[in-house]
Amino acid sequence: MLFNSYPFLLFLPIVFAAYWAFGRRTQNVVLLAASYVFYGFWDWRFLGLIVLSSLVDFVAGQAIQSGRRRRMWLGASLLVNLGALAVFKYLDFGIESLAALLRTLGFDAHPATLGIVVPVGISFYTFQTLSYTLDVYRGRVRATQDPLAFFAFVAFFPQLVAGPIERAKNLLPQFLRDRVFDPELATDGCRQMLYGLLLKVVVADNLALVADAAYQAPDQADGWTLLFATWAFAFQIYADFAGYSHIAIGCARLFGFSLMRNFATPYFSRSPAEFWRRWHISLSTWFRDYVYIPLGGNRVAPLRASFNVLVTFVSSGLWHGAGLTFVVWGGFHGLLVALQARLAPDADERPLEGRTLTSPRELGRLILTFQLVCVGWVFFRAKSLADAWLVLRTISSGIFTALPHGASPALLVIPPLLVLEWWQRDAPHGFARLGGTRPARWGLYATALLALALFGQVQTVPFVYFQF
Amino acid sequence: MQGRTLPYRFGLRVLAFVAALTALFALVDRTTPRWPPIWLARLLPELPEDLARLRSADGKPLFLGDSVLHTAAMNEPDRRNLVRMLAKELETDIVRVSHGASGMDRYLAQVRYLLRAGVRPSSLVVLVNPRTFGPTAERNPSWSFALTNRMYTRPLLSRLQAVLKWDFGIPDEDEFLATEIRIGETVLGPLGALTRPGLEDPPDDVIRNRYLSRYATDIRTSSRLRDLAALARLTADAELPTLFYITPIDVQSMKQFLSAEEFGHVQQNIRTLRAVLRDTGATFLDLSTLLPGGDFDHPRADPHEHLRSTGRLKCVRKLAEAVQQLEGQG
Repeated sequence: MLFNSYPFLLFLPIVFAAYWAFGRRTQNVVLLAASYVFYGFWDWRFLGLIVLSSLVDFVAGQAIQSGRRRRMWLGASLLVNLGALAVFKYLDFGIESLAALLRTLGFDAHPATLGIVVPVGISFYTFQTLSYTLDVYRGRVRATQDPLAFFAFVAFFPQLVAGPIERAKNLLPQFLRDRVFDPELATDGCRQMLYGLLLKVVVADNLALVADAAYQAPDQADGWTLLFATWAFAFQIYADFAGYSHIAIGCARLFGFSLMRNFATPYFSRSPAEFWRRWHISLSTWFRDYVYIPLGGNRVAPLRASFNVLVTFVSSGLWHGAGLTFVVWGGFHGLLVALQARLAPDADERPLEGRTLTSPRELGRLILTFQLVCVGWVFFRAKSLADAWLVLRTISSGIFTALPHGASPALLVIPPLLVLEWWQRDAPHGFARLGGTRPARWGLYATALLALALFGQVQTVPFVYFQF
Repeated sequence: MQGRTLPYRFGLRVLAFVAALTALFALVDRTTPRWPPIWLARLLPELPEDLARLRSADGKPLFLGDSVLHTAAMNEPDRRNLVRMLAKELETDIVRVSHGASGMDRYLAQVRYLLRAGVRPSSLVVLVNPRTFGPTAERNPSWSFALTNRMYTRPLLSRLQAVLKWDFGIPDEDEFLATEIRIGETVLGPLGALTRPGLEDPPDDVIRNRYLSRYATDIRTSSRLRDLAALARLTADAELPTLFYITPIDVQSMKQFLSAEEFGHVQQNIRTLRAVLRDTGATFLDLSTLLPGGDFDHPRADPHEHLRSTGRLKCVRKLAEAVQQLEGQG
C-alpha cells in the first residue's frame, strides 16, 4: 500500500479509530493486524518472511537473555535474517557476477538466474529485527517477554517498508507502555505527513521525469542535460526518501509513537562525513554501531581505520542494491570520508542550526560537498558502470564547451525547497514552525494541498527506496 | 472520558477540515469555468492542445471523434484524413478534436466544457463508434480517460484526485482480460483467453472471438450509452446544431466469421444506438453498413474502423450533405 494512494487514505482513519478505542495490549493487536494488511497489499505471500524473522528473533532474544547457547542463537538470528537477504536480494546478483568473472577468465558461462522477486522492505525490517538480537547479545537491551509487542515492533506499518530503521532500544519500549494521545503531537504529525507528501509528489516525482529521461539513454544526452539530470536526481532521491520518512514519522505520531529522525537537511553539509550524519541517519548509525565500531572504528591505526570506513561504506552500498554500481557508490563515499579523516580531521563543522553561513569558504565547502555527493549519485542512478563512466565523461567534457542549456522547468521546484529547508533547518521537518495563528496554519494547509493539486505529478513513480 | 474521546475529536476536526477544503476546491472548479483547465491541463498529455482546439471552434463546425477521423493508410496516394477531405468538400474550416480510443464519455466532457466556456461552434458532429460501447474499449485500462474527462469540468479536484492516485473503478489489465464475454445468453469465456491479445497471426476462431467481443456483446448496459443520451439531450437543450453519425463497421469481413445469429447481435447493437438517438430527438446518420470490406484499412485479424481513402470519400459525401443541412439550421 502506498502512502500516496487512496487505499491508505481509507486505511489510516480506520486503523486510527480502531486503535484508540482500546487499551495497550489490544492496541498492539490492532497495529500488528494493520501492519500485516498494509504489507499484504503488495504481496501477502511474503508476510511469511516477516513472521519467520520476528519469530526467530523473539525466541533468539529470549534464549540469549537466559544465557543458554548465546552464540548459537545469535548465529541463528544472523543466519535467518542475512540468509533471507542473501537469497532474495543477492543470489541472482551473485550468480550473474560469478558468470561474468568466469567469462572474463575465458570460460563459457551463461547460467540462468532465478529471477527472484525481492520482497518490499526486506532490507529494512531484517536490519531492524537483527539489531534487536545484536543488542540483546551485547546486553544493551533486555529481551522482551511480550511476543505481541515484539511482532508489532518488527512490522510497525509506518516504517515497515522503507524505514527509518528503528532500534529496539528506542521503539520497542514504546510498544510496552501505555500510549497517550497528544493532540499537539498528532497535529504536528499530520503536518509532517503533509510535508512528506509534498516532497514526494511535487518535488521527487517531477524531478524523476527529468532524471529518468536523461539516464534512460545517456549516450544521447549532452553534458549540460546530464548535469541537470544528476542534480535533479540528487533532489529527487532526497525528496523521495525524506518524504517517505516524514510521512512515516508523522503517521507514527498519530498512534503515540516517536520515531527517530532520518534526514537533517543533508545537502547543507560541508563535508562528506557531515553528509553521512545528516543522510539516512537510521542506516548510517546502524552501520556505524554494528559494522564500523565492531571492526575497531577509529581506535586503531590510521590505515586500519580507513579500511574500516571503506568496508562500512561498501557494505552500505551493497545494502542498497545487488549491483556493482552500488558497490562503487559506497566505495566512493568511503574513500571521501576516509580521505577527509586523514587530510582534514579537524574540519569546522559547527552546527548550522541557529546561524547563517558565516563565510564564503563555508558556502564553498557546502557546494563542493554537494557536487561530490552528486558524483556518487551518478553511480547510484546509472544502469551500469559503463553508463556511469559515460555520464561522468560527458558532463566533464560537455559543460566546458557549451553554455548552460536544456534545463527542465521541473528544476524550479528545487530553489523553494532549499529556501524552506534552510529556513526550517533547526526544525524536524519543513512545516514544523510555520503558521503561528490558526488562520495562518489553515492557510498553510490549504496552500500545501493546492500545491499538491497544481504541481503534483500525475504519473505514478514508486518510492525509490522500496526496491531496497 | 474526555481523554478517550480526544483522538476522535481530533479525527473529526481533520475530517471537517478536509471536507471544508474539498468544498472550497469544488467551488473554485465550479465558479471559474474559463481559466483553470488550460493551465492545469499542461500537465496531462493531449489535453492542452484539445482545449485550445475546442476554444478555437467558436463559429466553426466542430468534429469530435476517435482515430477514424484522423488516420490514413501509409500506402495510399490520398493521405488526407476524413475531416480534411470534408473541409475541402465544404470549402470551410473544420475544427477536429480526435484521439485514438476516445469514447462518448470524452465527447460529453468536451461539450460540457465548451458550453461552460461559452464557446459556440456553428455545428457539432459527433462520431459514434459502435465498438467503443463494448467491453473491449470501455473496460480497457489503457483506454480509460476518466482523469482527462474529469479535467474538462473539475480541474482542481480531479488533479488532486489523480495526484493521490484516487483512481478506483478503473479495472487493471488482469481484470480487463478476465472480463466475461457473453453473446446473448451464451457465455463465451474471459476476454483474454478468447481474443489472445498479442497474437499477430491467430487462427480463425480467435479472429471470430475478436469480432464478437468488439461488436456483438450487448451494449445496453454500457455507461457510454447513457453518455450518448446525455450528450444528445445536452446539445438539444443548448440548441447547438448537432449531428451524430454512426461510423461504418466492416460488416462484410465480419460476416465471414460470424453466424447469422451472431451477426444479429451486431445489428441489434446498431438498432440500440439508433433507438437512443431517436428517443432523444437527435439528428443522426447511420453509416454503419455503408462500406464494403475493401474500404476498410485494418489487418484481417485486428478488426477496427479505420478507412481507406475510397471509404473516406464515400463517408465525406454523405456527411457533407448532412453538415450543410445542419449549418443551414444553425
